Amino acid sequence: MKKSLSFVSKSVAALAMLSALPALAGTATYSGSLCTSVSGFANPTIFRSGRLLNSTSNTIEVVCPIQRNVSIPSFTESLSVSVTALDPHLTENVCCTATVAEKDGTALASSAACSNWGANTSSHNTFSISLPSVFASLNGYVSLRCVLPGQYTSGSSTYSSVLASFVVTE
Amino acid sequence: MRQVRWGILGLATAAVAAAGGWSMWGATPEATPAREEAAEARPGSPADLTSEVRALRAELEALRRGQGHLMQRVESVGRPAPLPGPGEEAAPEPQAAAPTAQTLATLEVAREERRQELEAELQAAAHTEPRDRDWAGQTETLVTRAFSGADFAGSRLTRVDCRTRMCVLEVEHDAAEARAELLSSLMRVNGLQGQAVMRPADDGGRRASRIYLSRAGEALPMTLRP
Repeated sequence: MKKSLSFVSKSVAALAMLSALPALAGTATYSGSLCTSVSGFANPTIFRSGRLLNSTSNTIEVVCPIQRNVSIPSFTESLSVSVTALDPHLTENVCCTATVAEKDGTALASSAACSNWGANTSSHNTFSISLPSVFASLNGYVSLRCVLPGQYTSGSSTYSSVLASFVVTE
Repeated sequence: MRQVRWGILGLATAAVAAAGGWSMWGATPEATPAREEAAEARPGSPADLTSEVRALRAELEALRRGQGHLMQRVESVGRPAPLPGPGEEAAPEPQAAAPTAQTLATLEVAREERRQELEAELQAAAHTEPRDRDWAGQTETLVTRAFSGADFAGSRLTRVDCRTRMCVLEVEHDAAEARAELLSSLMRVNGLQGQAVMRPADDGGRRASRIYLSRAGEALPMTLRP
């Protein structure tokens, strides 16, 4: 009787500890300068602030590596990426795709989102991507690919699209 | 005295019998619809699949809870707290130990089970979702055209079936390289910017994949845990 009571109280204590655990989520913020161009010879401009700009007249595609924060023992099933960008272009958007791949590079899940807030030449805005990272094994890796439209000219002014930073929560 | 004792015993038995009868009567109406539902669901029908997925999910949830408790116990046994000796200063708290290979392996098994569960959910949605004729037709054409592009060299689309919120694509590959880059190429096609999941579906020596693709701007119909 005493044994079973002790077992019950231990189980209750373990359950209480489990329920008291906070949601283990690792968050990291990266600057746009981390990203690398995959558009051949078209290179983005990196400002000293760490922001990445497309100062060319053509669309530029960049890829950004992301550190994984797999929580042990309770891993999260999805990963969220929040991109802060400046999109001054009237007809095109800054679009990003987050991908989780196996360690050999085979992409297993992707999610995409764009700056659908309309052209804004002065203020940065944020859009979010939710990626089902559970589809790749724990050793799989995550990356972000973004497409930045070329410079937009309005009258005598020219505006560049900017990838300022991105926050990853896993 | 004996009569009194027997009387009390009789009363107690009657009370227990009454309570049992009452509880059974109270439980019956709740249990009946579930039984009726199960009886109505024909094998292989959407209702049958849905109930099967629900039951499997509940079973997995229970298993995962048990596994979580076991892993906590294993970790607590593996890391005994050192007791400071007399006069010894308390050592600074050590950094969290790296997960052992066994912990990672257990976690990987749990992840794989969860992946299968989510895939079953996607599969069920693909079978039961109604077809939005306009969107499905346009998207099937878009996907079929995309596979004739240079980005998809080495991959052949063998089947595409779109519904309301998602499409299922069956693709064959010449080499692993073609499969590795497929999702990235697919997500670059204008009009397909949603969520995509690829599952290898190799058959003997044939490299093949199944892709679940959501409507642009929408998530795939699966229940991810936070």
